[in-house]
Amino acid sequence: MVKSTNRIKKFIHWDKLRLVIAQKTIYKKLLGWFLLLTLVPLLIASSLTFFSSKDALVREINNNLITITRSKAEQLETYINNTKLNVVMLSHMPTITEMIKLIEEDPTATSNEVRQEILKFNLFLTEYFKNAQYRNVVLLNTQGQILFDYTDRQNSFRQSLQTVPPDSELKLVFEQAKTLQEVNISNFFYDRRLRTPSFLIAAPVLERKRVIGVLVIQIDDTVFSQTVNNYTGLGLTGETLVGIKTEDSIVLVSPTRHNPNAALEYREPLVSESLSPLQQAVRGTISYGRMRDYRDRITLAAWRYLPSLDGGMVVKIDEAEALKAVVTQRNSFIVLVTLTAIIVAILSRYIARSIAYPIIQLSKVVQRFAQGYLSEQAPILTQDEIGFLAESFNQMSSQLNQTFQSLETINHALEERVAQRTVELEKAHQKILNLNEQLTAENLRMSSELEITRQLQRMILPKESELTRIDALEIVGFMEPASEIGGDYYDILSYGDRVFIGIGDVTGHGLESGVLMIMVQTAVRTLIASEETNLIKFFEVLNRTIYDNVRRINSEKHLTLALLNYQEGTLTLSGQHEEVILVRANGSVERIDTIDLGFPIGLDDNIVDFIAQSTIHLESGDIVVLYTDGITEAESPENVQYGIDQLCRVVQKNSHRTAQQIREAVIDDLKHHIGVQTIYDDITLVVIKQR
Amino acid sequence: MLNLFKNKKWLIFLILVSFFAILLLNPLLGRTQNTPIKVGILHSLTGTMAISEKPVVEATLMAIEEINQQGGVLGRRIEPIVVDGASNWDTFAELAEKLIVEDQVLTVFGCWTSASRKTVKPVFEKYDHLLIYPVQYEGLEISPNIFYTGAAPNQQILPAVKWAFNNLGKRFFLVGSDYIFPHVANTIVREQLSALDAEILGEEYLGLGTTQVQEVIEKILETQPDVVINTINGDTNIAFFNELKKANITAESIPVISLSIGENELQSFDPSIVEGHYAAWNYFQSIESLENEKFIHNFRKKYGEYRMMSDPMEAAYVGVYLWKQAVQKTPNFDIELLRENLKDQSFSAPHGPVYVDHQTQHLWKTVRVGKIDQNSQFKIVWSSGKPVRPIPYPMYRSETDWQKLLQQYQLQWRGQWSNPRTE
Repeated sequence: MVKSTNRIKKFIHWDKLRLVIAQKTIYKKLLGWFLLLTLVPLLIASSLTFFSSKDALVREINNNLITITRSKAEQLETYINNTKLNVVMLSHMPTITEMIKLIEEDPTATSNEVRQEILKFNLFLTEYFKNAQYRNVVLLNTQGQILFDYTDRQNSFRQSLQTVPPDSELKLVFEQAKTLQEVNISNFFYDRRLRTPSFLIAAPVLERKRVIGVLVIQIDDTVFSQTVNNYTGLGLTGETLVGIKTEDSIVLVSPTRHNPNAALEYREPLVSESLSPLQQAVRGTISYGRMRDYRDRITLAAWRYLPSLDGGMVVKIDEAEALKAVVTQRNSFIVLVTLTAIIVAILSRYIARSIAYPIIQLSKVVQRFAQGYLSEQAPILTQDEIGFLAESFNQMSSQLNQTFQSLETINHALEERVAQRTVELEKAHQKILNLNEQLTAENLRMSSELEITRQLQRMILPKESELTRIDALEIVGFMEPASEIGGDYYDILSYGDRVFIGIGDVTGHGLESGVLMIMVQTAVRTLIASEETNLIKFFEVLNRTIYDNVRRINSEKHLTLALLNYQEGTLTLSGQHEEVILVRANGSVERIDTIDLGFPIGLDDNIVDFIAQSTIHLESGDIVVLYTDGITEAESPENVQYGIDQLCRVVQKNSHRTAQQIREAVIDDLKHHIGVQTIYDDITLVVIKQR
Repeated sequence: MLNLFKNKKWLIFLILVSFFAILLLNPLLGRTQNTPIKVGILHSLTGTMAISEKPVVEATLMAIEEINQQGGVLGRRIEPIVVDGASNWDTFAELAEKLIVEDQVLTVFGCWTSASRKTVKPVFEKYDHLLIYPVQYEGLEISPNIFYTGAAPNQQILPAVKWAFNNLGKRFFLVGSDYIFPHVANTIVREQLSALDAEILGEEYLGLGTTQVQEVIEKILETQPDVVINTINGDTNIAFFNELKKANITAESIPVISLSIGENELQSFDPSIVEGHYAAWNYFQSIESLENEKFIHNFRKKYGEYRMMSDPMEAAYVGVYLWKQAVQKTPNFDIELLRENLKDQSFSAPHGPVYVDHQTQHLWKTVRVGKIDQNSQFKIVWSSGKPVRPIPYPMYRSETDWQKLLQQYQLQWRGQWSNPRTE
């Protein structure tokens, strides 16, 4: 049965299965698995059934053969035993005993009595033979001499007794009967006279328990062969072989179905490398199996030993005939399986298709949807999950479609608005461009105006040559306006032995600041020229003048202003401005705060209450530095203010030098501090050194 | 392709297929049992009969082992249960009962002496069991519960005597052990010899195991027969032949045909003592046949290079194989059916084909006479050529008459099967 499993596994085609797994369409996948799941179990089941029924059939046939063999053997044994018994019974008959004794006494049958008896005996035997189907009777004495031979009865009255020919079956069977004192059967031999295979049965003839002779009956093989060649249960090709051992071979003793001349002709050696069934049978083995027979056909055979003949019997039938039923069964199995397979295949196709179709349809619709045909709807073909899927898809797709539609509408509207806005923007842009042009023109004009004002501012500043004419003091000044005019003011006026120094810073930047600065310079000069010595009056008039002018030009600006008045070593200071730095000749630094010395000019109409004065005595080498916040608030690139301390330090460091040198030093240091930073405010510096 | 096999689905599919295949195939394959078939081996391992019976046990066991190696019977092992009858017939009967009732064996292979067999016969008939008996014996017995694989009288005694009559002379002396076999054998011989018109010069019996053979030797010397028919059993034979030699009786002067001496027993003899004498058996070690070659080879391989084979050993061996063939047709192990199936068996035995005779449950066996040579082997001097049908009841008397004879002995011997001598 193990063989069958292997055969089954080979039925499965691995390639086909691989295809089943790797299919890319659902239809083919379904179809593949359907076929696999139905056909494979079908194949397995029908194969198993087939093999088991084949085995059952083979067992059946073998049993049949064994039964036939057994019954045939029994028949043969019975026949032989009965025949033997008949011979034994015959040997007990007084007639026989008498004949032997009679002929022994008178071997050549000289006496009439004897001849009479012999004739009677012949008649008796003739009758007997008719019934018993015997062919010959021989009587022998204990020496092995033939006393009587029925077939030779014509010549019964011979000269002398013949001895049994040596090496003849007759001799053998006689010896056995005599020695073993019991009925004996010879081998089969071919009787030329009778022209038929026959055998002998010999029985000792006893008188008062003594052997006086041997009775031998010759029987032909008619009945024997009939029994052997009864083909009941052996179909068309079945036959029986009966073989007897001779000295060197096994010889068949009856004709076979396929070879009518086999009797005493067909021989097999007694032994060979592997024993044939006949060889096994004559050696005593009972068995069955497949064998290739003398016709070179495969047969199923059963064989056994025949004790009476000391031979063997083989009953066989062609395997082809025996297994015809199996072949038929196999064929019908194949037809059945094929039919079923076809039906299954057809049904599977239909089922697979019916399952796959809605899916395919849905998939197609979805594909088209994905390509942009948004109004595609899937057909609802079934009521199962695929149907639900299709429904849901349809809902989803119509929603999507609607959304798209509305989006499109919105899009359009947006586009329109955008177009509108763009137009508006274009207009606005155009306006801006125009304005820009105007501004640029304005700017141009302004900068030219500013340029003029700057020039004016510069022109107002005291010249170098004026300053060198002042004997008592070394005075130098420095002004560098910022890009936008800051409105810093300083002036140095000398009248006789008096020197007037003024410094101030107008708020803000621009033209107005510059103009105001010019006004202040003119006003101060006017007042100084008028020799107004009353400080309070001086400032009052100056303030009123500036204040009124400022009102008129509608400006918000004002200025800080400090005035210094030098006369013979005494410096008076008034007006609110930055701290005044005083560096004595010994290097000590003083800072004079001007916050309480005045009030910004042009801010209020009445500042008389705020004016005050401070007096400084200058020794030789003392330095006074005046500046605007453009210096102290100048930022470095790190946005660090220059600071008044630094200014003091530089002045202090250079206090032994000339005013000019001090100015240079400060400016250098300041410039160094500023670096690349933008200058937001005018830089004004006045250095005064008492000579 | 290989990628597929990594796929779990594939694996599951294969497993399922194999599972169902195995499930379906299992009942068709047929289940094999593991429980062994028990058989009993009932012989004398000790006592006077041990010398003869132990080799028979060995041959029986060898046959069982061979069958087990080939897969057993109906797929099951045979398990032999060996017991020792100790040359005591009552012990035999007790052990037979034990084997049948307690050990529940399917069959018993055993017995040698007719006394032992006659004593256990009622046990086997009581339990309707099965005994396979491997030794030549006097016949006069057919039991439905015993199969006899040894020679019946017409397969040993009668042909031997006839051959002796034909070849050695007409004046016979009979000597045997004092139990049922030699007595019955000699009765048969007497009948046969009178039918042949031969002379019986003496008939003597020696107690089993005795060595006091001088009286018998003297009688032989006195009567000077042409041939002695010897049915002594056991080691008394050693004493007998020794004494013959001492008395200067040679095989040429007075040949002895023994019916109970085989190659095995010859081992105990000095070859010079027995050379030239005769024995009659179905099996001789010197038989040339494929089956015998194999038989001798296997036995020597298992038990030793110098072991000798004898007829009862072969008969025991053959008995096991015939039994095995019958069991194979008896799957339900019903003993009655087993006996029926045993009746139809034949086998290619070492000594020739054997066939179980339905009516008598004896075997058809070929008969031979052998002459002892200097190698303690037998040269075959005569053979029946083909197997002879067994006739347990020789034709000289009717069955009833034979039974009466047996009963007479039993009475004489106070219910025993051997003469209860006190010596």
